[in-house]
Amino acid sequence: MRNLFFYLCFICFAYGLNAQTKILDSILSLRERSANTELSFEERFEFAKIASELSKTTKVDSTILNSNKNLAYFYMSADFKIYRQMNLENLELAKKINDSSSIASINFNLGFYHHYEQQNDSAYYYYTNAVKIYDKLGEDRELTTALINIATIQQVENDFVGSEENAIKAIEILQKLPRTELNLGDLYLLYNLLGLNAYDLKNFQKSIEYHDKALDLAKEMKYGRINELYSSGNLALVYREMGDLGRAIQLWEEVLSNDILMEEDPSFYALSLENITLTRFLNGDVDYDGIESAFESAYQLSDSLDDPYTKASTTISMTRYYKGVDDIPNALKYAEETYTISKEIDANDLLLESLLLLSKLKTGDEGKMYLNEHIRLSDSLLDVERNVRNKRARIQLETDELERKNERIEQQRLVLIIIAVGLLLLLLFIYIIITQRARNKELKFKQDQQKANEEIYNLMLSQQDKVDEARANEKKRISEELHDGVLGRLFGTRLSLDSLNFSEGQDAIKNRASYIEELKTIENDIRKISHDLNTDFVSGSGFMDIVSELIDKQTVAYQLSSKFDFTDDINWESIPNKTKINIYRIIQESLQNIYKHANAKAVKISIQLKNNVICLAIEDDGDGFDVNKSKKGIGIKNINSRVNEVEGTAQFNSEPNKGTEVLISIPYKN
Amino acid sequence: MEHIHILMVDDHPIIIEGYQNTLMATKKENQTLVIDTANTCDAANLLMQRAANERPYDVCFFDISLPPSSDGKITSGEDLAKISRTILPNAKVIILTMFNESYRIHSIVKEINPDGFLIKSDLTSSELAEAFHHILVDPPYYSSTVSNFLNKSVVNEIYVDEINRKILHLLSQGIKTRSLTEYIDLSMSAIEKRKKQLKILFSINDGKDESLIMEARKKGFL
Repeated sequence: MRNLFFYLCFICFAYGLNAQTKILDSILSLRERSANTELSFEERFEFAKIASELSKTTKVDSTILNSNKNLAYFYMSADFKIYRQMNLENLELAKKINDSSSIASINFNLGFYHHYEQQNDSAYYYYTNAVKIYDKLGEDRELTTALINIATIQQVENDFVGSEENAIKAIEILQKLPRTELNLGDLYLLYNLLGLNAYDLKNFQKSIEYHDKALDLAKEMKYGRINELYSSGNLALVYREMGDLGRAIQLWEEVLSNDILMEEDPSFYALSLENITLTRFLNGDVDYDGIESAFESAYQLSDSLDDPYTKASTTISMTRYYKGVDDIPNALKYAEETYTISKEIDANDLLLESLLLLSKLKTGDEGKMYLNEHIRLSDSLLDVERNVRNKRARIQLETDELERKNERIEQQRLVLIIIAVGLLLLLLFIYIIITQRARNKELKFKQDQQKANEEIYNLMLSQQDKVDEARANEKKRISEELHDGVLGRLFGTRLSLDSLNFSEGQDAIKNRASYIEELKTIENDIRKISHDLNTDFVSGSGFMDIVSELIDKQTVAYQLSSKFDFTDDINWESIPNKTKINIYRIIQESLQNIYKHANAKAVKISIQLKNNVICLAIEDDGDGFDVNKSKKGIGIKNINSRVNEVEGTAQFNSEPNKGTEVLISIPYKN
Repeated sequence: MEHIHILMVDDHPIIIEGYQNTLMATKKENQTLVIDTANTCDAANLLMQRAANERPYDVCFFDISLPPSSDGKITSGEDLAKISRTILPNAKVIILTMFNESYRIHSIVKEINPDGFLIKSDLTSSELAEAFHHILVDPPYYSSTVSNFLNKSVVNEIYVDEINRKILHLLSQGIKTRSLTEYIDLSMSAIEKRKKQLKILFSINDGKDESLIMEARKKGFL
């Protein structure tokens, strides 16, 4: 039954495993199909959605994350709000499973979202996060992209220094990467950005350098023709600002003469056109009709392109022109148009300029009003700028602090781990020392025991030697007795009897009878000697001698009176040495205990044989103890362990003030 | 009439009785035997001293193993025999001993050169009588055991001195080496050295005392 259950479980498990792999396979194939660019966007989107749904059923975080990341990509085009939502969810998931690469890319995505929505603060925040992680992971390509985006945001937000810093950082990384079209494009972007930054910082020489560099890069690029034109236009702006109007006009002319411009970027064409026209006017061109028609065509173009920025740029240039030629009504008209457009599109620089122009064109209170508005706006812009910069500094500071905090926590954790490991090692060390010491103690105890046993053994051996010697002496004595006594007399009697053969008669018979009587006496003597030989007078007494000696010596030393009874029925020679040694030690220890604890005056020790059991009894007339209460001392424990060793039993009879009796029974195997 | 003065020394009166019975029963018609007996060294010595001044003994029977004299100077029949050789130069000395061990025979023959040497265990009354008469006329008379043994050791190439013989003898008696110092007036190391020499002499390779005794017995030293 149990086996069946187990089997069922196994099947379920195997099936479950199988199903899991199947689902994973299908998720993978769905994801693959969603990446297939040959299919239509809708189809691919659908596959990605199914993959995501399926992934949710697996409950495996990494699978869900990957599928959702895939799906989020489609939402970037389909629904930007959901794109953000998904990325936020993915971020949580990625943090949960600590997938730092995903965390970085999702941060980048969120940065991209906010960047696109022109929520530059949030974009900056996410991009910064992405940069930090990419930097740590060493993913240079993604790092530079994020850095470029940050630098762009900073440039827009007028944080030129910060922008420059990030741009240079990105350039340094990009220089190390292979000069692919993509990398070159990025490099171009960065140098262009640097050029714009320098321009805004009025560092024109530097700006020219950067734009020249950008121009070179654009030329190096395969599809960099339009970039060349942008750079030329930017250069022209710089030159105009520097006052080199001729050079600026020349550059713009080059730009405008390009055929592809009108196709690729008509806005830029319009922008270039209005710029060159204004510059020409500023340069003292008096062909007013030509200028006006050029402005007009730029205005028409920007209007037809529905590009308010270009339009506003055109109108502000036109305002400046009309103001320059003192055509106040027209100037006012375009100034007001610029004001309206730039207000709509939040183009603050244009707005400010239009306000300034308006305040100059209008007289009286109206002019003042525009001036006031200009002042207010520029102040608020400054405030915003300051705030933004502060905020950004704060973000930087916060992330730095966070980082520092993390570092601190990590350090603390390290210290904690070191301490823990140290403590653990210490504990281990202590444990080892303690066990080692215990083992040593045990070993020492065993050694001592062995030594004591050896001593007793030697004692018994020497006793055996003594017995042997006594036996030898006895043998010699008997031999001498036989030789000198019996043999001599036998010889004498024989000789006499022999000599009586020479004589006959009554006397001789009488004499013979006396010698025969002598023979009888000799016979008796021989029987006696034979008996002596038969009784082994030393046999077995050896061990008891040792014990007697022990008891005598110890009791004399302890000033006890002692009585030792023992039976001769035990053949000690047939008893194993172990038993004898233990009996000896038990008596020795008991006497020690009596001396130490009992305050006794007399001890009685007896060894008897009852029903094939050796009964050892040790009695004293000392203080005694309560057998039930008393914690077992080491003496009693030792006796117990010794008795156990020889498969015997020990009994302690005692009462306070009535002495103690130790009864030990050891089986006698004969 | 021939008067023969005889001294018999033995610690067993019954042995002396045996000698007397035998000699009295087998004496010649013309012989008159005057027999003094002694059971101890002291008594024997006293008798000999007196006889030396008055009427010396013609024949002395000495047993070897006797209780020592009270002053401890005379320890055996051997010593008594030596004394008789000095103070009774004409007395015939007959040694009768239970000891049939070779080393004793050797030393006795060498020390005393007795006129008669009889071993109690193979002695009969007729042999005693024959020996007695032979010695009176034509000494010496050695019993067959003694002469056999003497012949054997003369032939033997191995020379073993008295102390070594004694060591061999004691060992063959079952005396332990460490107890030998009680019987021989030598240090333990000296005895050990001699034992080693003996083992080389008898080419004993296994170093055992038992083998040494067996070999010595085979070669006739025991």
